[in-house]
Amino acid sequence: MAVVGAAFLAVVALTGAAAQTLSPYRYDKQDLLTTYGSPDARHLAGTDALGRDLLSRLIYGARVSMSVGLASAAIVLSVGVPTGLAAGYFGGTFDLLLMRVVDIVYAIPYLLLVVLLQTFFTAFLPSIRSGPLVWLHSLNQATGGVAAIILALSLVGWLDVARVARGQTLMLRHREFVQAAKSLGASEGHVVVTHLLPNIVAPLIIMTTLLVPTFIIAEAGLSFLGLGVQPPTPSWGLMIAEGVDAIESYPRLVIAPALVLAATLLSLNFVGDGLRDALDPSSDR
Amino acid sequence: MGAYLVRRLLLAVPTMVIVYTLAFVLIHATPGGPWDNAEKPLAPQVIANLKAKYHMDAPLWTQYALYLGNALHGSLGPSYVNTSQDVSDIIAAFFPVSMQLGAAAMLFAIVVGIPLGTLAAVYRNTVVDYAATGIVVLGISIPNYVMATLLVTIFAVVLHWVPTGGWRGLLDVRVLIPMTAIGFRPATTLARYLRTSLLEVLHQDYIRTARAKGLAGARVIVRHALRNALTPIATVSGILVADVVTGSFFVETITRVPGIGRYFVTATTGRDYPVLLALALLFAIIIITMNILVDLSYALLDPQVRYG
Repeated sequence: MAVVGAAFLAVVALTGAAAQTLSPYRYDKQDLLTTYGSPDARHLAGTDALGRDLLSRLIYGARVSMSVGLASAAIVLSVGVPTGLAAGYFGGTFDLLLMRVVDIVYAIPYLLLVVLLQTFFTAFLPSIRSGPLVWLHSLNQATGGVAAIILALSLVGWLDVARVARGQTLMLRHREFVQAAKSLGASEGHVVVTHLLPNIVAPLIIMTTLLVPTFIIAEAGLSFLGLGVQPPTPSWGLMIAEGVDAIESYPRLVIAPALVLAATLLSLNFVGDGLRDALDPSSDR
Repeated sequence: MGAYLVRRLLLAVPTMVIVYTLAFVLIHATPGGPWDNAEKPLAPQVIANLKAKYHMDAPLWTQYALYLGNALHGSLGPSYVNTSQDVSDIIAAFFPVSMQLGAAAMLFAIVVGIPLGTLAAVYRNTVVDYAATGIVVLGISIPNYVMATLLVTIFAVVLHWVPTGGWRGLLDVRVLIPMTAIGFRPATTLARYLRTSLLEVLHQDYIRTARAKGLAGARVIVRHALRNALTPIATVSGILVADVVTGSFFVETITRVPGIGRYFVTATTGRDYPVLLALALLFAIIIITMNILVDLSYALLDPQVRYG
């Protein structure tokens, strides 16, 4: 199953990456004479309310979802793992502070926080005219709103990764191989990087494969609420939202992005399960 | 137990304060006021008067304390968008609907999730298990808004078994789609954890004793195994409640249920700040309260748990 999932994912990723060559039309090319068109030879999946080719928008949507999922996961790992390692290994006030922050943020649903943050970002970024952060606004504009989403998702998401990394570090900190390394004269930094880090990698990989679907779901949810990518940039969530209004007459507009989103998430979960079975022999099956 | 309860409640207060501060800061740092509509541009003097009325010209500290003070007295301020209504009135109108829908979804999660997990564990590694696990995987992968749109399309648009949306109270058929859409994912989460926990329990010696004594299979499961396997459910409940609350945003919007989830969405898109602030606080209170209740029930269910 994992192989099937991985294969499907590869297809989605490649489609997204090669979006400009693969998609038959630009995602914002409107053909107002053919709105709500049924699938035919020219438009393999039909057209939406503004006559835009559905298939092209699905393909570009793949690019958005994949980039959000992967970029957010990358950021969250590169910030969360060192923080968790440091907190778990060195302890002290830094650790206490981190844990308090994690506890408090943990009490609030992820999506709620992300929605609040995004409400702030979407209004705040366009108003930065000068100063050190002006590049952020240009980046956001250039990516059609994706940069702000990645920022909001990562800002809340890295805490969970830090918590897991810290837990793993705490488990391994007092093991013999650490003591052996230290008695041989290894510096603290060396112990952390060369000995602890490789041993906590396995649960972190598993966690990441489960994080990516969470990010994709959150991005689609944000776009659904109008807080995600800026139209005309397509996102599967945005397409679902746009299609909901016409659900009684043209359900195809909603079903297509919904199915593609579900299939992508399913394959991500299969791959995650497969990785977990391979890397963690103690997991129950 | 009483001491534990008091301690938990005391811990909840700083969390609430932090949520309030965070929401307050974010909302007030968001540029653009509620009266920036280009539709009917207001004269500067009118805007100044409005700002004075809503104390928006006061320093931020004052607004912070003022809003908090008012909120504690039950007045959440007027909505900026629907200026004739006080936010607490709007919430009082919509909240019961969401509570009913949330309760129905939780009920769905329990009624579907527990048998699903039990069957998967009891008939482990058979077709039944694979089918159940397949459903669980679907639940993890399909977000609630996708579920809602699929259900509406299949059952309302194509089959015409139910209307596409609206709300006529809990006993009307309209409740089925939103209830299923919100409750499906929690049901599968519950099933997943129950399966793992039940598998552990079924290996225990006391189950073997019961079977050796000749007790029927089903009775063994229900009376002995389940009671002990259910305690991890309490741990999962926190996630379930958060899922139900955030699920309500999307599902209520799609199925046009007049609840606070949908109200939150309209306030977000309409930048109605007092409503956003009030609702963020409300959601936080709900989650924290449910978590405390769940922790208490955990202590009741499992006699081995003692809270100092």
